[in-house]
Amino acid sequence: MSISLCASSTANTGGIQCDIAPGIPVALMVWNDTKTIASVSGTNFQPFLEAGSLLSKSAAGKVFVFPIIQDVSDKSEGNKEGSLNQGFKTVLLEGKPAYEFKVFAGQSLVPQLRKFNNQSLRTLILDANNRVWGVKSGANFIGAQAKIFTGGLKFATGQNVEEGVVSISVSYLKASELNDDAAFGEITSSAGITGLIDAQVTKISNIANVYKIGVEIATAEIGSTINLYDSYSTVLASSSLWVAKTGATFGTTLAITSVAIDAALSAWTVTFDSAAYTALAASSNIKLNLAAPSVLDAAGVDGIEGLEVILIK
Amino acid sequence: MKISNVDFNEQFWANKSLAEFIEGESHHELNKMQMEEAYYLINPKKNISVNTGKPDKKGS
Repeated sequence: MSISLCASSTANTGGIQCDIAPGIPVALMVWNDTKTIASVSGTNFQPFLEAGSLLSKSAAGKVFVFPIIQDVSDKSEGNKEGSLNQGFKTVLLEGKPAYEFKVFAGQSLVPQLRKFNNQSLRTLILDANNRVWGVKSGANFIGAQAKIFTGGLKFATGQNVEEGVVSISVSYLKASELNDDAAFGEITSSAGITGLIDAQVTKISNIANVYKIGVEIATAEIGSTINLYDSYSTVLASSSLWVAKTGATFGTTLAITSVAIDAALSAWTVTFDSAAYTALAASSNIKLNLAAPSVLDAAGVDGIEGLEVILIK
Repeated sequence: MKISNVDFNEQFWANKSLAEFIEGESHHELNKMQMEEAYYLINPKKNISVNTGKPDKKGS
């Protein structure tokens, strides 16, 4: 018997038939939360991602879904090697994985993506086999630590596919998270896992507790916004799709008694509880917003997150 | 509950009186019949008088 510590520092080397490996990246996701594997495995994985993508961007479990990847380049740092002058050569330091993804995005979206630049984030990758790759950490599933950098849009040269193409660099912080601890969950469809668009709620006018309210999506064209009224006038004329809060920390619900279409203004008439409104002190703040993205989605207003407006009595 | 492009908060107006409802929502320029229709759809039990079985227009 040889004297060895190999039993505790090595592993068996048999392979599983049809073992699974990461496929071609389809979408980058940012997810800074952690979940127990038991809570998201199997058939729970798809609803977990769908629900996460529909959370408000301020929620802890939010899944930010980046645009579909159209081009992949491996930008991983090579291993650092060293040699001895008698012919021995070995890896001294493992290079860290990095990729450059190209996606289609316009000038309205790119600044949103660039808000993630140079932040340490946890990331997931959806591959072409409908597997979402993250990291197994004990009993938990988490994202792989990375820094992301989205470049700006450039004028096209007419020589390559460049118009509306933006590069996203993903640089992983720990090689071992991808090389040793990578783990995946399977989804059946990525259709319900999507990025949201900000829609700004705006005050047009008011008479006492009756407010005329618009909802607009900003665009890169100066002076041009997309009015949600054009697509959702009837659906958003619903008191259950609006939320009003007041109080020092906006912890008190202010009842909305009705919401009506205002066709003349291409807006909505939002009426607050008259008695509660009257009881508010002058200059009180009221935070009005659309309901949570998941509530909007269930009502047929897909892919929208409202940005609140502060109304001053 | 929606009448003529106005969605009334049923939870809020349930168990409120017809007079309160009309006072709070009269700015929508619905006519009296539409307002009463909306109110009694929200509060169907108030449409029947317990004693007479006839519609109780006071909504009490």
